[in-house]
Amino acid sequence: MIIKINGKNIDNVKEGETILEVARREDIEIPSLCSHSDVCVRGSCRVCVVEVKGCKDYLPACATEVYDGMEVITHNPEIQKIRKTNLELLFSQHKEECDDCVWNPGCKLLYLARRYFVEINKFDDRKEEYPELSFGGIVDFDSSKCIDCRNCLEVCPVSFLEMEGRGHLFEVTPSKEKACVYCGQCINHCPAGSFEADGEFQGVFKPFEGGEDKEIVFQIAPAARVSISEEFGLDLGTVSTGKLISGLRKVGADKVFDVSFGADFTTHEEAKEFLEQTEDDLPVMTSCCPSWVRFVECFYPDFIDKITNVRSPHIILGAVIKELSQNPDNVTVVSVMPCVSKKYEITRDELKTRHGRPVDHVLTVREVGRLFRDKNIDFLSLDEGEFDNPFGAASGNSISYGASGGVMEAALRHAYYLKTGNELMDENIKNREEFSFEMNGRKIRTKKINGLSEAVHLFEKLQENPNLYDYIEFMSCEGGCIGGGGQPVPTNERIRRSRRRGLIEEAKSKKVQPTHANKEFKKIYNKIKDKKELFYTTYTKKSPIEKIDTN
Amino acid sequence: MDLIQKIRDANLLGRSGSRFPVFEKWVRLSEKDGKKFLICNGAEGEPGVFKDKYILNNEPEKVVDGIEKVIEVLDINKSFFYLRKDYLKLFEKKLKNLFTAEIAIKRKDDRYVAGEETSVINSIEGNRGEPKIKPPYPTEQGLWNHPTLIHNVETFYAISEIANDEYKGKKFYCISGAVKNEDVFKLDKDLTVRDVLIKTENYPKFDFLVQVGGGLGGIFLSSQEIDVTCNRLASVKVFDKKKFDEKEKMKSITRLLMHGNCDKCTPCREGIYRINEMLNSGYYDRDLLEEIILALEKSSYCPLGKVAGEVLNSLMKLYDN
Ligand code: SF4
Ligand code: SF4
Ligand code: SF4
Ligand code: SF4
Ligand code: FES
Repeated sequence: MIIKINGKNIDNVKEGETILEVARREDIEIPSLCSHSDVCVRGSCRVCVVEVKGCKDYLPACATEVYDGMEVITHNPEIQKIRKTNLELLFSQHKEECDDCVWNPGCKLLYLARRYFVEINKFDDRKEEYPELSFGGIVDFDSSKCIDCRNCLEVCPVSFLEMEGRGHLFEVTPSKEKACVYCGQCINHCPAGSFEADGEFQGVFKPFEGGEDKEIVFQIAPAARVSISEEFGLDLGTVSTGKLISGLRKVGADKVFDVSFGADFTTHEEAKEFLEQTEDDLPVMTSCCPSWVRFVECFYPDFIDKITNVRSPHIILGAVIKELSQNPDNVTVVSVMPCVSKKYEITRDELKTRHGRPVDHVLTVREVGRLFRDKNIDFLSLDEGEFDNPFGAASGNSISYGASGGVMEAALRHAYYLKTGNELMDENIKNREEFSFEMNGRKIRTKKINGLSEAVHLFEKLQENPNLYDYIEFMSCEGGCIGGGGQPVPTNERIRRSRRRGLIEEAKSKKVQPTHANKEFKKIYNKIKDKKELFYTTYTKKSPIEKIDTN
Repeated sequence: MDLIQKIRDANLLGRSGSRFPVFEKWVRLSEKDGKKFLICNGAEGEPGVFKDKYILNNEPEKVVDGIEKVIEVLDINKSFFYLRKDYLKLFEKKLKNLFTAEIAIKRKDDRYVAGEETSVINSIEGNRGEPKIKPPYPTEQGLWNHPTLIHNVETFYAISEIANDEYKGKKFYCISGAVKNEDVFKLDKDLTVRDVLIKTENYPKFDFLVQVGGGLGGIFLSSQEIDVTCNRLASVKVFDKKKFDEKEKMKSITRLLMHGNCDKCTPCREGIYRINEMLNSGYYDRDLLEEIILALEKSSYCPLGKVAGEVLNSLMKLYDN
């Protein structure tokens, strides 16, 4: 098909593409706000309207599919005027609180405001009096910023967000009958910065406030070391592990360790546990994603027994760090995470050890970006630091935890080795949604899930026939933690793909690949006496109704 | 001659105000295999329009006949009669007694916009009665993604007339306001507004203006502009010019629209709100009004917002003079 945009022929156009998609590919600017690759086209903001020859009205580029011979004009004085008006109207319902916003810097609304000479305060804020809510102290929702695009309703995996009538208007409100699982997907899908994680961004200095003599120990999650590059304008998919380590040292970290080293513990314990299971215990379900665990505890308590009792990597490593420290009470452990839900996880009392909470603070990738900016760290000129010893030498397999499929892959490869003494050579375990292999004559059937609505379908099937799989990996977020709720904005399909690419590159660069070959890990592992206390946890049924506070 | 051909020859246009050729919808549907649905839209949400009510009161058997003829000709699997709440009370029993085919009666959502065809589909599916993106058009993917034919009550009435060779090119006009004979009249379908007023003996002796096409979606015309046909909803409301206040009218229309729209798109949700706010606080910023009207007319999501823009535009122009 051929179409024309602004007089220029574009000939590689495929059926089903929208005008906006074609224009993006061709680097032709059309402003857009409400469209996002993860949600269905709603066409509500109306800033993307363009002229299509032969049509009386302007059409939304995000919602209009191309046809052969279509002629599109993206800019004319009337279109500019309409975009300006619609933007001014959007600002009239959006209370700007830029200091404290996940979109700062890089806000599209503000960019378009400049581009279209918008008077941001042409009207009084309609939502001036709208409330600021907190979901369980973990996710904050400032409804006075909402521009009613409804993206959050669609991405919320548990339908915790709803539309409710208020006078003649509808507005987004949290459900009074459900729980939030703190996945943070609402945060990186809201074009107006209405959501943020607890602590964003007033809390970024908290980890350093414990007093002079505290030893401040950072640990970095796998999926954070690629995405941090986006905070500083580097190419998508760039691995910035070294710069991130150096930056953290500059802002005051005494030690910087690798969460993936903790993942080796998780891998080892999960593999052992799996091999001990009887048929009745199956399938084993992974536990690394706290949103997923909360989802089961709140909505499907019957399945609690199926979740592995092994703790997630940063929790294990946090506890190990304190356990092996000369002065555990003096150590502050801070995890850099792509995740909002990890902020919730560290508050779980079940995880306390004799040294208290294994992890004291969680900072999202966004927060670390802000921390560096506030401290005037010139990220691009930082040198390539290296992890401190002894918790720095992770295996390649454990880096893969950051992308969907990685947790299960590591655990099963390790189990296979423990059982047979050989490596599992099949590469497909990484990529397939469902996969099976033979282990000493036994067939192991696996499944990976990312997205909780998929989990609901699976539970329905399992209620009928519990014997479908041996091992299931669950991640709340699309693509796994590379698409986590603590990742930079924007997060979309293309960006997730590039993060995945970077993560694979990082995993390959590791000297040892399989966990069983990681000698450093074995050394530390053997030093830990009370493995039960440090590596295992429990789960309990939780209220399926959220605690909502007004801030 | 078969019915599809007859409809084509009669050049029947939809009577809901959209004036879409009935024949074309039918052709699209007849090309489809598999499940097909039909909806008779009795939402009649326009203030001051009561043609459907009049027809259902006086000749409901023709409407039902029209529906049942279509069910047969187009091989429809399931049919729905969508009615606003008060009509449901009035006509449900009567209609059920007339049905010989299986037709389910559904209650309309309360919002005004819920009468628009994709909103009707949403509402019958059990969702909020708000519009969907077109395309796909209902004839491609309507109810539960199956091809769906949707006509309003009067269209089915006309279909019945055509099927039974009784059609004489007439339609129903609804006359109201400052007139002697407020009523529904069956007249030639292409009359000008002036002729309609004359033929129904309603032509005012005083200086007047009219609203053509319904109380919310109707355009305002001065008495010099009435040599046009009613090419939206056939409804004419007459106002005494001396007593007419354009700004008050804008105020009341924007208030109704604010309550009647679906709040989905920016110009309609926020724009109408801001016009209403401006008028309520007593100032009149013509530039602002014009800007918002342009955004409404040319960039709204659904016909409601676009029509709202045109209506407000017609009032703004009357006020200018
Ligand atoms: S989205 Fe955030 S950064 Fe952008 S204008 Fe609104 S408050 Fe400011
Ligand atoms: S909160 Fe954000 S994502 Fe949700 S409807 Fe409002 S603007 Fe859209
Ligand atoms: S954090 Fe997740 S579960 Fe909670 S409201 Fe946001 S999207 Fe929904
Ligand atoms: S998938 Fe990863 S980022 Fe998302 S909630 Fe789970 S652990 Fe956090
Ligand atoms: S981006 Fe197209 S309508 Fe919002």
